[in-house]
Amino acid sequence: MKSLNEFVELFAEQFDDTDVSEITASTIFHDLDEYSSLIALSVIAMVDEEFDVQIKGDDMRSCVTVEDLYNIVKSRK
Amino acid sequence: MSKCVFLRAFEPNDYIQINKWRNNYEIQRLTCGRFRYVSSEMEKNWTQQQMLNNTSNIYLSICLNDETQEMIGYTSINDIDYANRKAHGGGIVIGEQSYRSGQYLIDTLLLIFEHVFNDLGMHRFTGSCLQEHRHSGLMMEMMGFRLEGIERESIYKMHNYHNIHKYSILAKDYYELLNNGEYNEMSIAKRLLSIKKGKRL
Repeated sequence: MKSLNEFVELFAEQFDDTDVSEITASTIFHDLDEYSSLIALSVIAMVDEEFDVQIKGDDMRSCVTVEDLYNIVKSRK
Repeated sequence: MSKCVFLRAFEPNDYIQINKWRNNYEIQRLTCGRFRYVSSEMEKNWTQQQMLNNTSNIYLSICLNDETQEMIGYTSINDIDYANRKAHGGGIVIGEQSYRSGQYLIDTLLLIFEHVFNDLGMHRFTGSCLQEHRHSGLMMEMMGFRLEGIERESIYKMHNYHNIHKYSILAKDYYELLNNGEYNEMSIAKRLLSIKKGKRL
C-alpha cells in the first residue's frame, strides 16, 4: 500500500491548474477552486488504477480532507 | 438505474426561470451562442413557440428527480433531420450552481441520448463547445463523443474570437458503450482519466 504522501501526490496530479504545493494531506479539497465533479471522477479512476480499490462519488462527497479519502482507500485495501 | 434528473417538455411558466438564466452573463459566457438581453415578454413568446412546435427542434426542461421536481436547467435537440437521421445538441444549461456537478450533467446527457437514439431513431448526434470550455469537451468525450474538427475563430464573445470544437456520436458508438455497460460511474471515470492522460502527452 502506498504511503499517505504518495497518495497526496497522485491526488494532486489530477488537477491541471492548481499548484501541487497547495495540496497537502489536510487540504479541504472541496474548497479548491479547480475542484469539480470531473476532478472527482479522475480521482475515482486513479484510486482504482493505482490502489486497485473502488470508491464512489458518495465517498468523495463524504470526505473533507485528502487524508480522509486516503483512510477510506486504506480501509478497503 | 434511477437518474437524479428527468426531462420534460416546456410548460408555460418555465419562461420565468429560462429568462433568469438567459440574462445571466456568467451562465451564458461559456455557451456557443451570442449573449443578448432578452425581455420576459420575448421569452414568454419564445417558450410558447417551442411548446407548440417540436418537429425540428425539441426543447426540454431538466428537473430534479425528487419530490420537488424543481426545474434546474434546460436543453435542446436542434436541427433534427429525419431524412438523414441526424440532430444537433443545443447544449445543456444548468442554471443552479449547486447542480453543475458531473452526475446531473451525466444523467442529463444519458437521457438525451435515450431520446435521440431510442425515441427519435437518430443515426448521428453532434455537439459543440468553446475550445476553452475544457470541462464541456472532456464531458462530451468521456460520454462517447468524438472530436471531428475545430471551427477557427468562429464566434465573437468577450472581446475575442473563439474556436469552437465540433463533436459527434453515432448510434453505433452509443449502443456499443451502453451494451458493454460502459455508462456506469467507474467506466466513465476511467475513460476520463485516459482522455486526460492522452491530452497531457
